[in-house]
This record gives sequence, structure tokens and C-alpha cells, in this order.
Amino acid sequence: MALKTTPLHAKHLELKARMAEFAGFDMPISYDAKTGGMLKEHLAVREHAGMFDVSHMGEFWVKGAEATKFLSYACSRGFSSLEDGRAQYCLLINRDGGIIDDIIVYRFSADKYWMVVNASNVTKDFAHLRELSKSFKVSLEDVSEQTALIAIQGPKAVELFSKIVPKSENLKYYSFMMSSNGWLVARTGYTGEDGFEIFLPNKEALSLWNEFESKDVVPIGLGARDTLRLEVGFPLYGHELSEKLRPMETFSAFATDLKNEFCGVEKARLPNRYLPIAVETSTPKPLRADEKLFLDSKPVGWITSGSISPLRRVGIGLALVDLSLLKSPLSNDAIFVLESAGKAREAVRTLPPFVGTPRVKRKLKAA
Amino acid sequence: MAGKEPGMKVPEDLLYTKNHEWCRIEDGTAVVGITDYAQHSLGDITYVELPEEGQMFQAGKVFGTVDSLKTVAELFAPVSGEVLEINSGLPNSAELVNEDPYNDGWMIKVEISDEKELELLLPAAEYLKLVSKQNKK
Repeated sequence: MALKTTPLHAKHLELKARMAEFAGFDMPISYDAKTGGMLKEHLAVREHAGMFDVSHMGEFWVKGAEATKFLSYACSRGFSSLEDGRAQYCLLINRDGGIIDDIIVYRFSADKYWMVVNASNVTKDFAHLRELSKSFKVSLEDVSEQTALIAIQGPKAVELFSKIVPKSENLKYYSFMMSSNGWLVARTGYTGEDGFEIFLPNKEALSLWNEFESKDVVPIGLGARDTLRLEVGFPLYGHELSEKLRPMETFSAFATDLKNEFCGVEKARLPNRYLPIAVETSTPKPLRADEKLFLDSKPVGWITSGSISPLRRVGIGLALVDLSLLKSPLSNDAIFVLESAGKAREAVRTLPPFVGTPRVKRKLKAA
Repeated sequence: MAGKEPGMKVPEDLLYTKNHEWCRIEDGTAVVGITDYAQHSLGDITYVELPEEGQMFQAGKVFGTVDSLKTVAELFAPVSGEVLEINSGLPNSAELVNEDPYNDGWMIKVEISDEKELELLLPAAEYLKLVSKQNKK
């Protein structure tokens, strides 16, 4: 089957990006011929501004008299007290309490919402929501194929973008506006930096990309997108989140309100089987997904996402510990031995994020 | 230095392995590193694990590893012998392998124990043929 492409595909090829399949799309992994590689792209976002083509992601409309009631049932937290013009991160949960996807829902009004979902889950999410929606007065529309999504992130992003969409600088974090030309502009992102995500029609994507390019915004591939999100401890569906996990067993527990009677909540309230943790090492040898974590020579967990922190130059990873394999409660500064060829390596438990950014503050480790 | 494409620099005065190591022969010693093709395929290199000076390796045996953001690769000794010197700058600046694979990014210097092994290594023209073929795949 031929890979799908985004409206910026020809631009990525022109920039000689390294391309690879992701969620059925031919996507840019790094623009190294132009940027010098993923590490440089990562630092450009932390220090200046970067732009991302994330048009592969899925977008749905949810409209109707019972839209608020429906979404409060379909999602891991309620929408009745969310203000118009605000967005909320939450999870879709199946009847077994497993996580179907992590999504952001944007409230236009009590009867009109926009939703962004992971590219790999578009079909699954839409089928699930359609099934649930049968008992509610709502209509769903999948507009993924006609919608482009470009993110601009970094310390210079707000100043740069406010010249393109005036007043966008007044948006609060997790708020959104419709620009005069009909773009949905949200003060959100997946990097820990300040910036925007801009939903726009496919045919307008290239001119916005070129305008950013003319302002020296650095193109960023999915490789650096992954290290940027990992460095601030953001989860990635298929790694930290999956149908095998329940919401309270993940770092997205904060976005789950067990008092809310959502689909699957009874199962979501069951005792946890896994504990999500963050670990780091002392050298820039990257941690790798699926590496096992040993405690007292026994495997107790595994890395779900691993890499290095380009800022701190140490290995970092998010991991899951199987609580049934622990002999005693895990200490806050547990030291694991990693399963790897050659010299044995250690990874120390820490609290995410691995670096503090304008949007994600570091926490003090509890004594 | 044939090849203008990224990752296709193959200096003519070096010998090569099929595993993409290069060897510079100087007075009975071999300076060893990985090729431009190898560093380009690996992408951002963040960590290099090298042996200790004085260790002995047989040709074809693993003498270290190199980690990029993407993957980890083993390093294979092109010739047998004792490690006389390692590039001690690399553990703290592995990006040198990306930036300058044939000079600042060198890895180990080996005392050649059997000159005949050099005949098994590839001259530049043959190595260039090999990577040109792989690049087309």
C-alpha cells in the first residue's frame, strides 16, 4: 500500500529530509542536510524557534445538543466546567479501562468541539466514538484528510507568530482562537516550549511554512520531536500509553478524573498493576525502548521510551515497573541495572521532566 | 575523496572493511575509525565505547560500540593486534565522529601483528563500489 503524504511532502523532499514511514505516512525524520541533524534541531527549538509538519494527525468535529455530555462520557475527564475557547488534554478509555488514545479537545461552545488525535489511531478512535455516540444527540465528522497542522515552538515562536496572526500572543496556555483567515490557532505544543499549533486547510499549509522559513524558523523532523517531548516527560501513544494500560498506571493519570462517570471508569478504578517512572544515567549513551530494568538481579520493569537529553547529555527514559515483581515499595531514588551488552550500566529513578522549560517546571525530588 | 553526496567521502589512501571501518597504516600501526558512509547512516552519534589501551583484539572481533540517537552499532577490528592508543577525546565529544570521521573522529591505534591481514582489507575503489551499491538499495 502506498504511503500517505501531507500537503508539505514535496517541500520535505526539496529540503532533502530523511524520510520514513510513520503511522502510514511518509514523514520527515530529520532535515539534517539543512540543519546538521536531530540534536541541532532539538537545540534550535530550545533556544530559538522550530516548525513541525504534523499534518498526519487526525481531527474530528463533535457537534450537537449533547456534545458536552457525550465528551464527558467518552473522555477521562469532564467538559461541563471547561470554558469556551479553552482546550483540554484527556484520554479515550475502552470498556476494559484500557487507553485507546490521548487527545486534545477544544471547546468552541457547549455544543461544538474540535478534537485532535494521534495519526496511528484515527480509524480506531473514530469507530469507538461513533459507537459511543449512538446514545447521544451528537454528530461526528472526521476532517483529518483536509486538515493540515503546523506547530511553531520555541522562545521566539510567540513574537514571530504574532506578526502573522495578530493577538495570538494574548492567548493563554491551552487556549485557542480562530484567526481572521479561519485558522484554528492554539497555544499548545509537544515540546515543553511556548508556541502554537495551527490547524489550517491543506492548500494553505505551504504558504505558512514558507513564511516561517523566511523568518529563519528551523524545520524540525519527527526525530527531534521525540527527544523534545521525552526530555519534558510527555507520553507517546504506543509507548507510555496503550490499551494494555489503565489511566492511573500512566503519567497521564493527572488527566483522569475517577469521580467522572466516563466509559470504562469502573475498570479504571481497579488497583494499579504498573508504576510509571522516569530514569536517567550518567553518560550520553541513549537508553532504548524495551531495555529491561533490573533490581537485585531481578527484572522488574522496562523502558517504554529512551534516548538522551540533548541539553544535559545523559541517557533518559520513561519506564514501567511491574508492581507484582517488587518485593517492597520502590524508593524515590531506586537504582536499576540496565540489560545491555558489554559493561553493566545503572539508571537512577528521577522525577520527570528531565529538564525544566517555560511550560514544564522541574519538581523537587521528595526526600 | 570520490563522491559529493553526503556520506560518500572515501579517501584514497585508506583501507576499508565491509563493516565500514577504515584503517590508516603508519609505521606498523593501524589507526582505525568508521567511514563517512557509516557516520551518515547512523545519524547523530552521542556515545562511543572504546577498549582500554593494552587490550588485544583478533581481526573481525568487536572492539567497541557506537551509539547514535537511532541505533547502536558494533565496531569490528580490521586487523589483529594490541591497542596502543585510544582517542580519549571521544567519550566526551562523540559528535566528532559525525563531523570529521577520518581525522578528529579516529577511534583506536593498533599495533599490526600480521601484515598479511592488510591484504584482506578493501582499497578505496572497491569500498566505494560497495557503498555506492548499498546506497542505491
